[in-house]
Amino acid sequence: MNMEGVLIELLDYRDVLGAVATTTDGLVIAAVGIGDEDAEVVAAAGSTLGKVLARTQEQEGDVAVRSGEIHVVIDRDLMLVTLTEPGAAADRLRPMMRGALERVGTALHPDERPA
Amino acid sequence: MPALPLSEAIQHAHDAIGGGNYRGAVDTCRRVLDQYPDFGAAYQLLGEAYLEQRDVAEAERAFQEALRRDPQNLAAYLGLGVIAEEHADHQRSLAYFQAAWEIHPQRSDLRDNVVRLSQQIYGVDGRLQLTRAALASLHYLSGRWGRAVAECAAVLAEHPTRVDVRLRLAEALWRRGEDVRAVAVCRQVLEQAPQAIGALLIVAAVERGHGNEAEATKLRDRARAVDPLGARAAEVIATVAPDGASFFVPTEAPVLEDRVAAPPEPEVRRIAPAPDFSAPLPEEKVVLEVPAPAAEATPSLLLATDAELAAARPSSGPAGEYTDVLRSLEGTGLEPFQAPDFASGPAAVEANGTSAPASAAAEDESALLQLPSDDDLEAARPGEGEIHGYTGLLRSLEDTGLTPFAVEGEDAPAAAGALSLGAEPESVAEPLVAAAQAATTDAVASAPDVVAEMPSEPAQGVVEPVAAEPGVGVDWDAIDDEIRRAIPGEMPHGYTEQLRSLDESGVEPFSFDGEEIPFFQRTRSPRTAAAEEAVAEQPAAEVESEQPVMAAFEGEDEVLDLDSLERLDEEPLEHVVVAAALSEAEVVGLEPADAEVPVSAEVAAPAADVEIVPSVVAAAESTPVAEDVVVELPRVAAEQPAPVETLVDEVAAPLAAEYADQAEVASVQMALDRLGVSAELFDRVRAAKVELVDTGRISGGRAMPGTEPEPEVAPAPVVAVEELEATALPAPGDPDARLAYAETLVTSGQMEAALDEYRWIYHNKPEYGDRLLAGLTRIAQSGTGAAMAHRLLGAIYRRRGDVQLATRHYALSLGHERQLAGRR
Repeated sequence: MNMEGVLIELLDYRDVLGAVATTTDGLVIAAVGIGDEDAEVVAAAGSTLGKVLARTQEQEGDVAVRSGEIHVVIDRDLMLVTLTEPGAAADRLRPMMRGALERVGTALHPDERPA
Repeated sequence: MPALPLSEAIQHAHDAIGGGNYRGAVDTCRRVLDQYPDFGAAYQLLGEAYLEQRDVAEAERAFQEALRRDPQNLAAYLGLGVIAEEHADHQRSLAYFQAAWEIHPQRSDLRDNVVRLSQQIYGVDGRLQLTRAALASLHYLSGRWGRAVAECAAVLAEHPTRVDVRLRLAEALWRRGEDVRAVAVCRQVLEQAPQAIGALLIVAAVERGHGNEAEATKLRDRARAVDPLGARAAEVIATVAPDGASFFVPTEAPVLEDRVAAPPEPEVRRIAPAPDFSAPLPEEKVVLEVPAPAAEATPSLLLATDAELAAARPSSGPAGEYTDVLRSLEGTGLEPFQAPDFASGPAAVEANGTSAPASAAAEDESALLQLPSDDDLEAARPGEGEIHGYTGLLRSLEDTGLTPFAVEGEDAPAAAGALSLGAEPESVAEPLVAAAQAATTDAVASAPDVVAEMPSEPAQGVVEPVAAEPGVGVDWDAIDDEIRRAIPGEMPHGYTEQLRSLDESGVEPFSFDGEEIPFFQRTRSPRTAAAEEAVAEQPAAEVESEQPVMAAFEGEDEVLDLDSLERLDEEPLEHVVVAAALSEAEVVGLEPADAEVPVSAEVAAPAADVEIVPSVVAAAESTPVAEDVVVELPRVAAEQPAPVETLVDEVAAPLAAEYADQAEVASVQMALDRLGVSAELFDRVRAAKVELVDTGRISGGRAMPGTEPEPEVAPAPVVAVEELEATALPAPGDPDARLAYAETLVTSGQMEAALDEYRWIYHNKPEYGDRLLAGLTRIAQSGTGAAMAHRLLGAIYRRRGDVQLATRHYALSLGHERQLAGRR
């Protein structure tokens, strides 16, 4: 499964600007709509928010900054970070992010073992 | 004797381990290694067999040998992890288990090992982190060679000695087709591990691919020495170059020549069957064998002399078992053996130069085996040591010169060593006296241990009234008098008040269980210096009327643990604010019940009924809060009920929740700023999305489900080409006019005709490429002519050097072509 293909579906939505799939400690797994260097920054930002969320046992969260919002969804050791326009509907976005993250996880943990 | 196929011998070893015949497995592996001394799999099995036999040293050696031959040998890593864990070297064990998991991250059993050990080492914080090495393996196992290469390179930049990762990098490069780089990396692997099977195979395959048969054969032979069965070769090579399988995999099965693997032996129990304890004791004598001083046989009991023990004792380092016990007894001055019948002792035996007769040995032995009497044990009891709990508290008072529990009616001297023994039976000191009388007379300098004399402890969590019991009533005034006599001047504050209040309320003040320390001892702590000053300035009557502890306990639960709050200096800002606020309330003399704290509506505490302390509000208002940052954080602290005994938290929790949020906001904002999350970053991301939309990869305009209905796009009216030509047909050589005409055609739904125009412009005016993107993207999305539109888009991106987008569009074009072909 193409992880970028999973993430780019999120960018089809009007308010979603970019998406980065990372590990919870900020290793970039895949990114769309974001350059390599910016993806590292976004992953690090997501990891920071992830740590805040981890303290309260939460798996989802977002932070608004001047130019937009950063949304984070965590699933075990993986995390999906999206940049959105201000005022994006987080309650609508998160389920889609969670679905995308699960698909990324499936791509990362294939059942079949290649030779 | 017929030769045994090597594969069967290995299978025998497998079966022997599975059947518990570890010795047989070791023998088989040894025989295999005699003939195939570099056989990696045999070392692995040997290690497993030794490990099952608890021969850890041999097992470790075998596993290390296996790893030298295959740096990605999972079983070897696991075996070494188990060995390290048995040595209680958990960090090392975790490293081995993690290395195994990083090679095959998709295996949940390996993952569980890492999680278990992480939690064992780091507690609840221990959890699995998807490391770069594991990520590299995931990418590799999923066929994402490029990503695997990138991750491996990143790991090696930090850990250049990770030969397993280096080998993974070589594999990824090789599978990616970068033979030269792969061989270079393999050479590095072979420098670290000259017999690394994976590296040997890859280099051999590449050399063979380049026609260097001789070199390839040489390398293959080295690989075969490690992998005579060709199992690894089949795994590595056959999938990539099936035609090379015949070269790498031996055509004839290797055999163990002139040897036959031992048939599976019956299982040998490693542990003897449990003895039948119900059977009568055997008559056999226990004989302690000690090296005889003389050459003649000395079949009798001989205990080693002190000189012999000293000679046998290691000069340094940790001593083991028996001598450890002896040494520990030396420190206490105890004699380990006090058998009366052995008066002459081994020294006498040694002096005589002869051994004791067997009968005497038996007598001595029986004497040794006798259990000591209670008197012996009492006599051997060591002197007073450190005593914890109640007497520990009492002893701590000795340092102050106080006599906490003096016998009523007597002038107890301050020195605790002169504790009066003439107490009235009804006094509280009676148990102390009784214990003191029972104790040895040399235990003068310390209070007697009354733990054993105290009534049995109440059940956990149950508070038993003490005052109601006879003989426990305390004359606190007398105690106060004694304290005043012991320390002339100011009456120590708060000591008897607490005890008195507890006594009146019928609560036993002290518990001996560390977990059962009374509430006030956990939450009540010495005041800050400022608070003490404030209290000292209060009139004595006011001090005397201080609210008893239990009253506070039964009231509003505001007993504050200022120390614990002050200890939060390094904690997040909100804790400091809370501590400062509460300290302020204490200093200004507010009773805790009167101390109001600002509580937001969201986190309002049920017992909040107080006035506002300005300094607290100021502290709250001064908390740095970013205006433009809003962190959505669950208010767990405000919603979850605090434990009953942590009354401080009950008051502070709402505050903590509120300030925690604000502090989190501030810290998150600072962190994001430091990381470079800026308006410019969002601008770049927006621009990238625009390009994605322009290139047709996404529409970018969908509304999220449930937010608003999708805007209905009215279908463009289809206009006849002839009609358009009549109104807008441009001059044939004018690209701008043709481009405008093409766009008109797209808007009119004439995609095929528009594609003709775009194609003309693409071929004749290459510089117009970027201006074609939007129209071609619309065509590609429409379906009609999508294959050609994607093909043109791919060509435009190829011209621009954007190989990735070009490839994507070519792929989409091919997909559409296939769809069309399928329909046809």
